[in-house]
Amino acid sequence: MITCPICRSRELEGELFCSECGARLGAGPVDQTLTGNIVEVARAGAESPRVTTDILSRLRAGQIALSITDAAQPLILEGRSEYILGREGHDQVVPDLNLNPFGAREKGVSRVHAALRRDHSQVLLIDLGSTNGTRLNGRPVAAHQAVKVANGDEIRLGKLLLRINFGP
Amino acid sequence: MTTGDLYNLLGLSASASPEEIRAAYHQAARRFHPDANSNPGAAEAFKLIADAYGILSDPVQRSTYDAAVLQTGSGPLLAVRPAYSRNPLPALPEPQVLYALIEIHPAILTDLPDPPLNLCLVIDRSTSMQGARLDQVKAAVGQVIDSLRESDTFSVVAFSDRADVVVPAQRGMAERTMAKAKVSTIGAHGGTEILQGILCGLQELHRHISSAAANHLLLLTDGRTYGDEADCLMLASLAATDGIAISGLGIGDEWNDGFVDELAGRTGGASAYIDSHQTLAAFVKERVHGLGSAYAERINAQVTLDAQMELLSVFRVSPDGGPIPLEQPLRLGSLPKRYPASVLFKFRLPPVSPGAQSIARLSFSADIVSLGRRGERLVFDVALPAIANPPAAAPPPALMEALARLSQYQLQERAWQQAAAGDAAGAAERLKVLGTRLLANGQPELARLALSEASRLEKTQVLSEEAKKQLKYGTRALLAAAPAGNGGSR
Repeated sequence: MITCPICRSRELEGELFCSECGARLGAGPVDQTLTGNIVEVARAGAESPRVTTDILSRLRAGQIALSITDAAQPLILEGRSEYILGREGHDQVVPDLNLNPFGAREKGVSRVHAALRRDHSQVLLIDLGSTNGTRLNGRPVAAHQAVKVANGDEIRLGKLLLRINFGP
Repeated sequence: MTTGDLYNLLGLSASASPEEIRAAYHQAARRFHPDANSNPGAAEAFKLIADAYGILSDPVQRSTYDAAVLQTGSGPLLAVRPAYSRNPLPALPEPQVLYALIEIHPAILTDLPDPPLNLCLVIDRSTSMQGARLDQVKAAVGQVIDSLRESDTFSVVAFSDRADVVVPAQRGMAERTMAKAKVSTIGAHGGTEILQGILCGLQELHRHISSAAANHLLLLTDGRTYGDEADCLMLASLAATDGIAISGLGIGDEWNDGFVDELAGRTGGASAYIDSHQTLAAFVKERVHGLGSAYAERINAQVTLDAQMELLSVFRVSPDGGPIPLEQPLRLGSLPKRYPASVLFKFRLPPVSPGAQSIARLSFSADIVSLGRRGERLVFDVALPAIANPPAAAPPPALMEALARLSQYQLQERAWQQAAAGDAAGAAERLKVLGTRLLANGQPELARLALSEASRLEKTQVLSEEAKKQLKYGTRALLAAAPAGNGGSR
């Protein structure tokens, strides 16, 4: 059996989409690095804050970097067309990017808060009906509506501040 | 004996050596011998294989057979291309799911003549059709009459709680003007009894039924039929056996979509939803044009499962996306000239160990109407190697695309099931999830529809038939719109 990363329902081996929530299942090793390694990188890099700008200027095509105030190094997202941002909660809903290490709970980030989606060279931000809302450059974003994001924009999930950069 | 290509039955080419023939026979016998496989159809599959082996293993009979094939000419007229969700299969100690997207292609791509139509339009003239609806339907029928060719046969039936033949089945359109005049006199009154309409329509089709034509009943209705559903479905199964397909076009919000889906599904026809009168004429015209330009009709598939294998579902992706009822043989409908018919099979496999795994035998039959050849057959084995820990590989894009879209369709189906079971809150939640998926997949209009229906459900606890049909047929239409092709040339 396999477990859906979003809603935790159980599916037979070989199933490709969750029958409960339609999420893509078993996308391979890329997904594991998303929830695991990325956060590790951010913690490990705590002593070398200068690397940050360097990474941002050298983002490859398809990469998205999220800079968080408390993290020394940006989180790099790569290998998918969509990422769900949120935090791990009691009901075992696991987003693609778990923001718990950055005080997501205290800052009012919902378990499934927002999605970043790559559409060719564009990046779109979609609030997934979060409790405390999403803001782009200070402006509230309507739930379930995709808005275009520009390089260097400021995204606020609840009170958690993220700056987004992305490669071509 | 119309068993089709004997070499194909054994999974061989005509140049196979006697040793290869013997080995193929033993392998097939292991799969389908009644002692090894109790699935429906296995015994018949084994008998066909044994008969083929009886002929091909005898040098004298084999050369007689080869000479006969040479004389009657032509190679296979259908080609099958598979795409699998896992290839190779992982050898696992637990059950697993395998998806197979099976594309059926015309083997001949040169310009072929269009097949003749044997078409009956069955029109609902119940009271609810009065006014603009009936006028639009009449206009659409008029356009169909204008587009008919000399080789086509055509009839019109109108029904309410009883049915009348408005235009009797006639070939050639010498009386075109008269036919249109008769259609214009149809008036609306009475209830909706679809059984009456179908019975009368099938009678007209039977007058000129032909294995070289597309025999099709096109039902246009806006209402629910009460009490005669089971009889209608039985009639549909019988019609399919006779080589007649039924398609249903539902107008407005009142008609019973589940019933019309099943009616069409049993015959290989299609069902569709028309929400505005304006689109009706264009829709009917396109449908009739599609029927009159097919490569093959009546594609049926007999699925014979290997031991311990299970067929969970079958969904036609194109042409005309829709679920295929698991009634054997599967009625897959028609094959266009220009693009493949593609069908998604979902199998459940038992724990498998490394080695060659055969999962099912698909025995296709079809009438190649564009060539006037009936009873064309082709056997295709769903078979894959299984290995321990295969490297992670992305499934073929065409299959992933079809599955992604099918998963959206299934989310809305589940939402309606929940709503029907009284779980409005659960249904609303699921519609929100669907809305997010649709949005992420670039379908903002359907997404908005799903989300507004979700909040409506939360407020009122009652679902809107209109939104339900728009979402159902909207997400289904996405399936057929998916880029087709398993990579190969088309």
